[in-house]
Amino acid sequence: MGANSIPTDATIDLDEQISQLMQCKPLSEQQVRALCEKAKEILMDESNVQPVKSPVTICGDIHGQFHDLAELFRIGGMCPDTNYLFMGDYVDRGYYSVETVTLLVALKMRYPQRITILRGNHESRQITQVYGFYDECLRKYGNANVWKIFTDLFDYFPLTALVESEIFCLHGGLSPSIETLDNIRNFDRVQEVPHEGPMCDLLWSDPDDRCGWGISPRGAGYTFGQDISEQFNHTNNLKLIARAHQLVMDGYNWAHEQKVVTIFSAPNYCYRCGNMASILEVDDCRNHTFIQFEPAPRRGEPDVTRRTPDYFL
Amino acid sequence: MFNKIIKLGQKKFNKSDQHHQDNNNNNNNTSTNTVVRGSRTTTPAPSSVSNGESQTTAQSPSQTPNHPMFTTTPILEVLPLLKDVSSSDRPLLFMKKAHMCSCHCDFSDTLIMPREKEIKRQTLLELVDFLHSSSGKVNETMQSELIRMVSANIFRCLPPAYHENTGAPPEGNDPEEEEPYLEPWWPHLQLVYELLLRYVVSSEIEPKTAKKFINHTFVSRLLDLFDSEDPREREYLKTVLHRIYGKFIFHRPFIRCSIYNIFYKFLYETERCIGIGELLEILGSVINGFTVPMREEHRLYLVKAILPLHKSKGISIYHQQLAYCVTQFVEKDYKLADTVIRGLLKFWPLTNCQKEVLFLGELEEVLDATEPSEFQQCVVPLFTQIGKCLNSAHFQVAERALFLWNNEHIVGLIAQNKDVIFPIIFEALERNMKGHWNQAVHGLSENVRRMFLEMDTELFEECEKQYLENEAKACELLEQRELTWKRLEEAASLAAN
Repeated sequence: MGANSIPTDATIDLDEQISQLMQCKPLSEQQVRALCEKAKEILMDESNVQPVKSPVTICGDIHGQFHDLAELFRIGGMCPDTNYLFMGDYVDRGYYSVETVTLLVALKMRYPQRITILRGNHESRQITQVYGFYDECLRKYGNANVWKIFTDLFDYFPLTALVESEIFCLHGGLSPSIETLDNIRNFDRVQEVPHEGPMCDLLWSDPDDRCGWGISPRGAGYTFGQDISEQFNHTNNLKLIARAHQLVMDGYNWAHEQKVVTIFSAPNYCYRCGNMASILEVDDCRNHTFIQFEPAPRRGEPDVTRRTPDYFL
Repeated sequence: MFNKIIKLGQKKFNKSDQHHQDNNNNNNNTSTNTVVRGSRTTTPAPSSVSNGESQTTAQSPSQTPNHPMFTTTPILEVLPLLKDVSSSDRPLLFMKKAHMCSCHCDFSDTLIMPREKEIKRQTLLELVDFLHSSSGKVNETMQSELIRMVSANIFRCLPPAYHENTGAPPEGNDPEEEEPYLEPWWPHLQLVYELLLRYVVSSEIEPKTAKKFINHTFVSRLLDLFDSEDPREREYLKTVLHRIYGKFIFHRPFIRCSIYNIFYKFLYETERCIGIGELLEILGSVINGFTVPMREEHRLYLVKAILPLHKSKGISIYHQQLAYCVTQFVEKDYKLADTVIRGLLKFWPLTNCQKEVLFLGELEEVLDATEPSEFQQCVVPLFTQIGKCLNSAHFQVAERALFLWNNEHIVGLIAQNKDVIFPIIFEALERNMKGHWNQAVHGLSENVRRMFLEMDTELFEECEKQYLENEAKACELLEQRELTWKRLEEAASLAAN
């Protein structure tokens, strides 16, 4: 089924919902429930290592910064004109987690072949109750039903993706219990993100300057050195590991002699970090281009960069 | 009004004329204050003051019209040390120094007037020492000048709150995460506060005399400063106000009333809550000193000003102090437990789980001080709410509610009222065991369930039976509804054909 198949009643509904969401207006609880029920069927069929074709634009953390996601689409091209691969962390921290994640799921429903949405460590019940998505659902819907619907859906999100068999994309990083991509393909991902083990590591680990495996300061996952990345890429015939999960000031950051790249797509993270965001375009000849962008102008969200008003100086 | 100022000014004029002898005129202080206020609005700030805070602190010559040393804007210059002059010259020198220190230094740039800043700092230090040493007798005129200097320094316009600057919505900024605005001239300000504190606590200073200067106006303006973003300043204010409350017994009702007024203003007008925590801390110790049985006035303020503080979004900043105050009330007068618990239930948060966890913690503290008779009064609404918390999808809320069963006193209270509590809680526990996503909540629910079983097996089984019946009924109802819809659909499709 192509992206531009003949519109049906369902797709017309979806198109309406998408244009509503693009204006940062959330759907009703019933609409969310129906959307997620169908999305579950599509996501269920995807692999733990979901194959993706180029050209595709790879994106990192969004964290509920809806207006910056809209800016991302303005810069990278709207779906389905551009293919997208998102590497998780759509919710928490920002003010518009509900709108952000609903939009991405709606796009996934409308254009299943054009957009891939992976699971990040924030797509979990426990983390969303501590970092804001749960409270936002309670605020916007008056009860926790929408939170429950979404976190139940998160269990079905694929964990990793493989672009043209050479770029391995995931939210966090490698795991000492995983040597090959087949290891990943083989486990049952439909569950809450566990506190330890391979599934947890994929969503929590970070690359590090030190060799070998290290204890992660995050309390989950590991840190892994260049030797680990080289070995993994060699074993699995990979050119590059693309991951998100860490704030990087330029929006992207090479590590391990270009064996690993971190991509972060939430500019001025938490409305205060002052960082650039970026996305990685992989064209049909597999060339890589990073596009950096700054926060979108907005109303209603704070600019928390602190300064004393002039008249007090 | 103009006449009044002139008249008071003349009074003041007379007073300064003889200011070494006449210390008995009780009107002095009030008149001084009136004049200061009047002159502040009419006299422009001295040009040497470049600081933005200057407008409240303008030391106009008209305030001290007679003595030559007070006729001009104070200039910061090196004066002889107090200990180096004869005791008869000391009062005048003291006043000269105090007057000098009412002048402001520009701290926006370290390069501006470094020498003057150092002189002021040294002079303030010397005054602090002077008050501290028993040798330093401070007569009424000296006190007047001292407090005038303190007022000139500390009373000022505070910079606006952060969101007032930028137009950002206040709820968007977590005040705990915000970096507070720190007063750049703290090196001076701190010493001025230290001086005020020494003055207030000094055993040499008679409250009877000092109340002319530490009067209602002064206390009110002091309270206004609790809006300061600088935590160091609020810490000093807290100590000073607490000491004033302790020393000036006749000010106590006024201070309490003023604090409650600040709470009202915060609750119903500004929602600016920077100093609420410090004020509650003072109040906590004030409540601790209440006599039993508690006066109706205190109970009223508990209901009208203190309990409503639970409804604010910014509660996390001052919750610890608030919970302390509330528990103090219950510990002082156990009969208030019912009032407090119903107050908590009234303001129970619906969409803010962090706040809900705080409430549960506070509830435990209150229940820990609650007697069986009061517990009995509110057991039904209380456990209806606790049941909801047990079933919360938020694991921290559910966990915190389940932790209540770790408290021996509370378990004791529950045991005495098990006939009422079991039926309310039973369903919540069963539901958790069946379907809560969090493993810890599962385990804790199971523990509480076992505790019930051990407490009263017969009652437990009865509740279980009731629960199963209810479940079956609900199931039946659902089936029936589906059947009705099915029939309706069939009828509709028939009609359509």
